Amino acid sequence: MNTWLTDIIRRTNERAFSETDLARIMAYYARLPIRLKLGEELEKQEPTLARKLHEELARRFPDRPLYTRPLAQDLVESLRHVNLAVLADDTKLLKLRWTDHLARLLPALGVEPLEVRDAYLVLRELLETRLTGSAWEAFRPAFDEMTEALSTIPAPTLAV
Amino acid sequence: MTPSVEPPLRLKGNAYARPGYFTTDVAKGVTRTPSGQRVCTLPSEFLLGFRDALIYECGKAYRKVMKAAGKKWGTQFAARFDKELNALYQTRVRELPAALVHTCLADSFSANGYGRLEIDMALCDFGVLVVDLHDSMMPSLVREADRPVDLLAAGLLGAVFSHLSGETLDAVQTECPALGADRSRFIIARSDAITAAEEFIDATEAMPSHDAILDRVRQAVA
Repeated sequence: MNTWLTDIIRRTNERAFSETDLARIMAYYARLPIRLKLGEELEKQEPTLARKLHEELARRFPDRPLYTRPLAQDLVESLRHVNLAVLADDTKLLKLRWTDHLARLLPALGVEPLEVRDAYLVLRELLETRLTGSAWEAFRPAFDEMTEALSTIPAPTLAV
Repeated sequence: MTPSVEPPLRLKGNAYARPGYFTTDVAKGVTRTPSGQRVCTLPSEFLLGFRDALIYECGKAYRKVMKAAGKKWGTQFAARFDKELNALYQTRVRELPAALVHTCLADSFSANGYGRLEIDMALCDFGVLVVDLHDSMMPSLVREADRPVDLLAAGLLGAVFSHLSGETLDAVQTECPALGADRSRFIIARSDAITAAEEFIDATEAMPSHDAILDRVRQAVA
């Protein structure tokens, strides 16, 4: 599994960078500091975020037994996959590591995908207030792409 | 509302899709997985050579030998899969929901290059599983045959599902790309039922249909 950057670097064994490749690499490196800062901020937030998310989910959705503390922890830890995709500027990493897996797993388990998406939307609100503006702006597109993908997963036939 | 999931839902993603799941130390000539398991590439030339040598040495018995090799492999594979999943979810594999284990098993098959696995649980209550394996290696090498050729995969699947279920199960291949199908299809059930199905296949001149073999298996498990 190669990111676009790996592919470009590998191709340079055979030829020089094309103008398009060079422009994309320069744009990537120009935004690299903010991507690195995002990683630091997420790491700092992680210990308290799971507890806060669990509290919020219990308060807003008291009738949903799905929202356990371990699940809140798993969702917060999944931000690492989002962060990695942002760091590499390649959402394919997130799709293969996380979204595609959920698309197969949730219907098979009889779990309503929109309930997982709802939990992510609560997490989104928490992140928006806890990350600095530039870090959130770097993070938001990949995060929103993931939550939108969760909306397209068919509901399980078992769901009541 | 989603019904309560017991045990609680855990989401860890596709651990096999992490970047650099297989890492090769070029200086040492060693490839390992994150758990330290050493793996190596067995190219198509090896698999074909292995099959040809078995046919030469064993004659018609080569099918049993290939399947037995698949079972041995599957036993080791299942133990490694169990260990990896246990480490990831901090829960014994038999206590995890079957759908989760099957999704992770399919992820593992894909990452290892064994093909895309689909598990049909519709007949599970009758003690029968139907498994499809898309783009499996051996049928892509043996283009034409009068019997299914995915014997290693049949042995592998039988051993893996034996490990996961805690029962002695076996698998028989009922459809194969070498016979014109678009994927390999297997029936997994109790060993004696699969033996009965294999005897039925051996006694039939043309390869019986999947449904005919499934009927035999269901009669045997009833």
